[in-house]
Amino acid sequence: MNSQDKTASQASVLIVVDTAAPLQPLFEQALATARRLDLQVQALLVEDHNLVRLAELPFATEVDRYSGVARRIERGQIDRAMRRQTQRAQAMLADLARQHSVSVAATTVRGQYLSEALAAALKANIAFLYRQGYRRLQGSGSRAALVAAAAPVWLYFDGSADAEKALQFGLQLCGANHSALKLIIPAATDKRFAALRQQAEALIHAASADHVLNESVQLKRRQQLPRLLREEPQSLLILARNSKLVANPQARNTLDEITGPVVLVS
Amino acid sequence: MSPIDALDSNRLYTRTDQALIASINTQVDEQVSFIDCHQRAAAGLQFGMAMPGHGYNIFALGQSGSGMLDAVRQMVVRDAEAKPTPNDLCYVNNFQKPEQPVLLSLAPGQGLQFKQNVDQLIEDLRSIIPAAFDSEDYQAKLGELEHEIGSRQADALEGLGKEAQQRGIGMMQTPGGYGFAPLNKKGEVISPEDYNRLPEKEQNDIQESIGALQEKLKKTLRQFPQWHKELRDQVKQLNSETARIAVNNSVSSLKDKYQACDSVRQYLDEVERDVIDNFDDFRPTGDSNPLLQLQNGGRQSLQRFAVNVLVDQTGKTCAPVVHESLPTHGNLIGCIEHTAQMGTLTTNFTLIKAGALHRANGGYLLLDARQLLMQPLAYDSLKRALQENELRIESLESRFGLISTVSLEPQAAPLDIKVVLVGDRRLYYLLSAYDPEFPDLFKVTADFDDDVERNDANRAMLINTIEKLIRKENLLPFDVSGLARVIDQTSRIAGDAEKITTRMRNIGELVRESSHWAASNARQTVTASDVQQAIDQQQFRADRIRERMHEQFANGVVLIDTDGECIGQVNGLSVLQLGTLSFGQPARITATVRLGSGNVVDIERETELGGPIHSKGVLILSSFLGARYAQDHPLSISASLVFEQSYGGVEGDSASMAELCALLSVLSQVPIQQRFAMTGSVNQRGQMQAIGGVNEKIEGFFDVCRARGEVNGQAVIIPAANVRHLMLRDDVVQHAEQGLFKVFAVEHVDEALELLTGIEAGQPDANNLYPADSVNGRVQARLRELAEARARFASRVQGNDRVQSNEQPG
Repeated sequence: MNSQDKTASQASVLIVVDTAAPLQPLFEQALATARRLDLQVQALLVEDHNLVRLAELPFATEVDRYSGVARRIERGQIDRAMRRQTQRAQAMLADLARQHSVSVAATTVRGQYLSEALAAALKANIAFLYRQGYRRLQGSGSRAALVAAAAPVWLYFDGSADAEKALQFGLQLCGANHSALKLIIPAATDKRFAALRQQAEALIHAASADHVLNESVQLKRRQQLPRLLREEPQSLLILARNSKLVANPQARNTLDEITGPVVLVS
Repeated sequence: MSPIDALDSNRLYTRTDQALIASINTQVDEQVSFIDCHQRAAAGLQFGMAMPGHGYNIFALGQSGSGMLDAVRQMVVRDAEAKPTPNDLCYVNNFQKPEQPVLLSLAPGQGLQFKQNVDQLIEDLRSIIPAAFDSEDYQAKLGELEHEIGSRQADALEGLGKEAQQRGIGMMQTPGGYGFAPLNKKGEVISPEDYNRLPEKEQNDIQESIGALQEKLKKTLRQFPQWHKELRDQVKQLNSETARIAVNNSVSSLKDKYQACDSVRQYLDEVERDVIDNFDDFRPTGDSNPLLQLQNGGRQSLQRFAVNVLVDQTGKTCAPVVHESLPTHGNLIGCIEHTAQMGTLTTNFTLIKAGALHRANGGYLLLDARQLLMQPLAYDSLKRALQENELRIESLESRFGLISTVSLEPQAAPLDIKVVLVGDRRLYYLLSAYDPEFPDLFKVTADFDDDVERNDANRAMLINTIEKLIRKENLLPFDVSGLARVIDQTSRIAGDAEKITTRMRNIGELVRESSHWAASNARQTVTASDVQQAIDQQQFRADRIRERMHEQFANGVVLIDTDGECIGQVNGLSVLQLGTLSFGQPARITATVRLGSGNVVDIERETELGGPIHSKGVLILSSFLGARYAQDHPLSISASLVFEQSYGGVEGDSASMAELCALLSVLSQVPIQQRFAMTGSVNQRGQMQAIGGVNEKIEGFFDVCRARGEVNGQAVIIPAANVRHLMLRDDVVQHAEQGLFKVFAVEHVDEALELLTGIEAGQPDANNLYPADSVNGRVQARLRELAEARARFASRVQGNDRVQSNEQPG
């Protein structure tokens, strides 16, 4: 083990999931990464407190997902459902941790997912985030792709030093998973885009990972990002924790719209 | 009448000329068959085999053990060699109606190849189909479809979410669906307290907005099932297309290979369709639990693509000849077997088994008629198949309605077959008489002779057959004397010196046993003495009862005289048949006469020990008596005839001449010499008629004489018509040569009487009167005396009657 590894071993991998949507492939990715990099794993299971508040409102109703019938919901009902979801997520995580021979410390909190996730991510080297969006995964094909971890990896590269770190991590992940790497380069002008692309490609070339790069996409407006990711719902987004998209409170809305798995790298 | 001479000893046994045998080529000629002796049967078979059309099946009839089956098989095989090999037959799954498997007919030898091709195809598809569905192309298309539906749903929900957000309302996922709630400035759902603090109007506005959003949501959600259905249809179409592309290449090449066979092409089309419709069966299920695999069908589900080669003609070059030795219903028309699966009996088309009719289709089926009739429903099933010209497999249980579980109804196979039933004559005539369908289905008879002429050609064929047997069974070779002795014995078995028996079973046994004894005698070739030893040993092994019976003659338990003379007593001869053993023995026949009304009482008949033919013989002799001696007066006797010490049934008329002679002896009061025994039947004119078992009868008397002491001067009187049947034992012939034992052949009762009594029988004059001192004259006189006595008796009785009536008061 070299000095870099030693540093890494003191660091940790964080998993933050919405208990309503424990995603086994994401857990697996995170645990495999932790094992590969010899990092500790911490899991944060977030129960959405907005749901509790909804149930407490006097007119609280839900429309059934399948029948479209509206019915009243109550606080107790929501609590019980959340407890079940949390237990399920915990059991799944424990089971996978055993399989990957990784120890995991899991914590459950009740709050707003994004706030909790970003707050926790500050303390971790790598954070795997996922919460359920409206886009529910369909069919066995999608799940299989994620399990096989061969789904494409999007990397948000803004040219910063943190972005370069994130790129290094992305390359490692793609190498381990045999996934294709797709660069998302935020650039208002073509010239900027070309420069950032050149920078990224040089790093990729230096890592002898030219074959991993699949394509580079210019992101002129950050609002386009959720739609772009939506095109490939099985994909994983990697971005530096200190990137503007995360650090800038104004950009949080965009981040909030991303419902696929996200990895924050510091 | 000139005195009758005893038969010359060379007429008692017709020896085969060894020089003649030596001149016969004993090299085996495969083309020559013993069936060639049976010209009528051969002609029948030839005709039956050549004659096309419904019902021209053959019944080969003849004596049991005559080697009919082998002879028929030889001839049928010869004919089959010139006929083409029929097609292979395979049962395959009927994809539309699995309970009715389809029959495929392929060129000879192609059935197995087709099975291998289809097995290979399925094995290939087991890797091709999963590969096609795991391919990037398929996964991408599938992902696209799923993504599209996912996007549609998400877009719809996100659109609604954004609309809600614009109204300050958040849309969120609840455990069971979606809910709407007002948001605060931080974007969180407001607390109930904050909500309650809101002005009523604002609360109403919020609730109104939420109500409207819920209605929109309901509308949106109602569209989802339809979108899912669209997705399923699209995925189904994609799957079908993927499977079709994967399957098409493999199946197409197979279709090209069997281009000439429409039914096979049609089947392959069905296979292709089924594989495309059920491509999932070819993908790994992941069921590791064997019970689950069983429940889901597992690999068994692919069994529907199996090919059951029912009849395989691989390597065959001509039409088949099948002999089914156990013609049960199932062995004949095939059967559907079952396997036990999870406690129940199940079946499928791979468990259909061919019957003999399938295997012989296009050729010949040989069956033993007796065996066929002994098996339940086998004959009935055979007839049905022949009547309908098709072969339908049906289990006995379902025919009887004993089981009600679902079974298979395999497609019937067209039947083109010649059935040859082999059986004895009695069966043939019984079937002809009692089964009205039999003559329609077995129009041709191949009637095998029990024996054939003892001529050069047949002798040569017999020798050829013996030589084949020797070669086939690796027996010791026969020298000329051995062969000659075998031929002599075949005549003895035939019971006719001028015939050869066709009972191949007996000939085969004699040849094998002769070889055995020759080997025991350390000889390299089989000689006449070995053959004789085999015959003697056969006789000895079966001889216990005969010996015991002859012992009783010797020690006087059974009374018989073989010398001296006696009135009204004669030695008759009978043959006893016990299983395969038959032997002759004498029986004392006695007659008594008294005044009577012309009745000859057959005591055997009265005691129900005599059969109808025996009774007929007695009635004939009664008639002879009346016609010959009592034409002008009533036959006024009452005579009794009996087989002394006979406690079993007596049948046949071969003793009628002896009975007549005993009767004439008692009437004439002329004693009969007891050194004679006689056999022969008599007709109303006194002529001696042929009887059966003449050799056994003569030898029986000879043996009893020998058992009682020295053979010296004893003789047997036989009908002249039986002389040709004489094939007597060597010791009998030797005694005859020395003049110690004689055989007389007579044609008329008068000749027999003269021999038995030593007195002239006498010829009638113009007034039908016989010389007074002749036997016939004495009989005539005695009968006249009896008639007169009867008349006197009658008048005395009438006189007494008249006196009695006159004495009655008026």
